[in-house]
Amino acid sequence: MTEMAPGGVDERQAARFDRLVAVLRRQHRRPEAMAGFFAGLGARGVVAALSTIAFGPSREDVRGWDELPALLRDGLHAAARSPHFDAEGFGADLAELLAEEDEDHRATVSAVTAFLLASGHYDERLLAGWSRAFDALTLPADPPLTWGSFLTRSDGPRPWSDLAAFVRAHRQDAA
Amino acid sequence: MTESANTGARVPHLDETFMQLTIGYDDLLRLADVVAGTTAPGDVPARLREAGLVGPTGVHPVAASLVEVAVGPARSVVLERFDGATLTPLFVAWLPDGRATTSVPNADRDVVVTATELGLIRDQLRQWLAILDRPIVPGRERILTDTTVIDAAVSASGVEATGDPRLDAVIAGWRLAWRAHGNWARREIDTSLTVVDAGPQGWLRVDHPPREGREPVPVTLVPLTLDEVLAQLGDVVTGRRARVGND
Repeated sequence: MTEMAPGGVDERQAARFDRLVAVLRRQHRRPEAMAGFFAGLGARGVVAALSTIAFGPSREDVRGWDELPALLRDGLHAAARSPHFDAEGFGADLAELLAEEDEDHRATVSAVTAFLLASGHYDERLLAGWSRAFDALTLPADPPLTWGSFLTRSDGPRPWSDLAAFVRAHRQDAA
Repeated sequence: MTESANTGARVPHLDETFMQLTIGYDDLLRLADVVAGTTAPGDVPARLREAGLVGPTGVHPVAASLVEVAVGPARSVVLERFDGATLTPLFVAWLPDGRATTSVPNADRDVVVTATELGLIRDQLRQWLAILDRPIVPGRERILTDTTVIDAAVSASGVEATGDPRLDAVIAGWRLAWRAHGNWARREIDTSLTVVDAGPQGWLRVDHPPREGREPVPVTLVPLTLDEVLAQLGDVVTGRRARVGND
C-alpha cells in the first residue's frame, strides 16, 4: 500500500511532481524541449495543471510547487518561439475552452488564460490564434443571407467590400 | 514569419503568361503605394521582393500594370452572384485606355487579379452571369410582391406556392440572382442593377424602395428581354447613363 503524504498526495505522485519541476527548471527556456512538452500536454492539459496548482490545496510535499505556474508560463512562451510548435493552434485551442458550458470551468479557463497571455509575455502567434478563435466565439454571426436580403441589398458588407471601398475612395491621378 | 490576418497570400504569385496576380489585399494595396511612389520599394515586406514583385527600381512591370488598373481604375463595378447558398463576387475595373482587370477572392481570402480588356468584359459577364439566348415564355408581366413572400416561397428547403400564379411561375423557374453596382473613381455608386434569372421565365429586374434593416419591403419584378438585360448591365459597367455631379 502506498504511504500517503500529509497533503493527500501519495509519495509516488509527489516524486513525479518533483521531477516535473526539476525538468521545467532546467528546460523551461529551451524552445525545442518545450515545444514537445506543450504539444503533448495540450491546451486542456495546461489549463488543468494550472487550475490544480492555483485552486487546489498547497502541496508542501512537492519541492517548487509554487514555482510551477511561472515555469509553465515561461515554458509555453519558449515553446511558442519554436518553429516546430503550432503556437496559433495552441492559442486557438485555449480560446475554444471558453466555449465550455460550465460557468465555473469557464471562469477557471479565463483566469488561467489571463495568467498565460497577459503577464508581460506576448507571443504574436499564440495571441493571434487565441484572438481569432475568441472572436469567432464572441462576435455575433452574420444573419443568414436570404433571397429577400440579397435582392434588396440589406445583407451588409462583404469581405471584398474593402477593395471596392478603397477603389471608390482612391484614384492615382495620372498627371 | 508572422502574418496579419488580412495579409492573405503567404506567397504572392504573378503568372506572367496569363497576366494574373494572386496576392493578399493588404499586399495589393502596398504594391499600389509603390506604383504611386508613396512607398519606397525597399519599405515593402520581404515576401513581395522574394516573389519578384518588387525590385530595387519598383514594381514588376506586369504586376504594376495589373495593380494600376485594379486599384486605381477610372470605373469599377462590383458584381455579386447568388444561387441561394453561395454568394460569389467579381470585381471589374477599367481605364479609358481599354485596360481592364477582373478580381475575385480565392479560398485563402487572397485576391486574384486577372488582366482583360474593356471590349471583352461584355462577353465575360454574359458567361459569368449565364445571360445566354434561350426561349422565354411570352406575355410576361410586372409582378408586385415583397421580401417576406419571396423568402417564404424560395428557401433552402424548397419552394412554396404563393397564391399568385405569375409569381409561382417565376419561382418555379428561379435559378439565381445577381446584382451589379458601378461607380466612377472617387465617386459613390451611381448605377445599380439587381436581376433574378428565372430560367424559362427570363430575366426580371428587381425594383424596391430603400431598405434600412430586415423589415419587409415591397418588390417589383420587371420582365427584361435578353437585349434589355445586356443594355442595363452595360449601363452599370460603362457608366454611360450615370449622373455625376461637379464636385
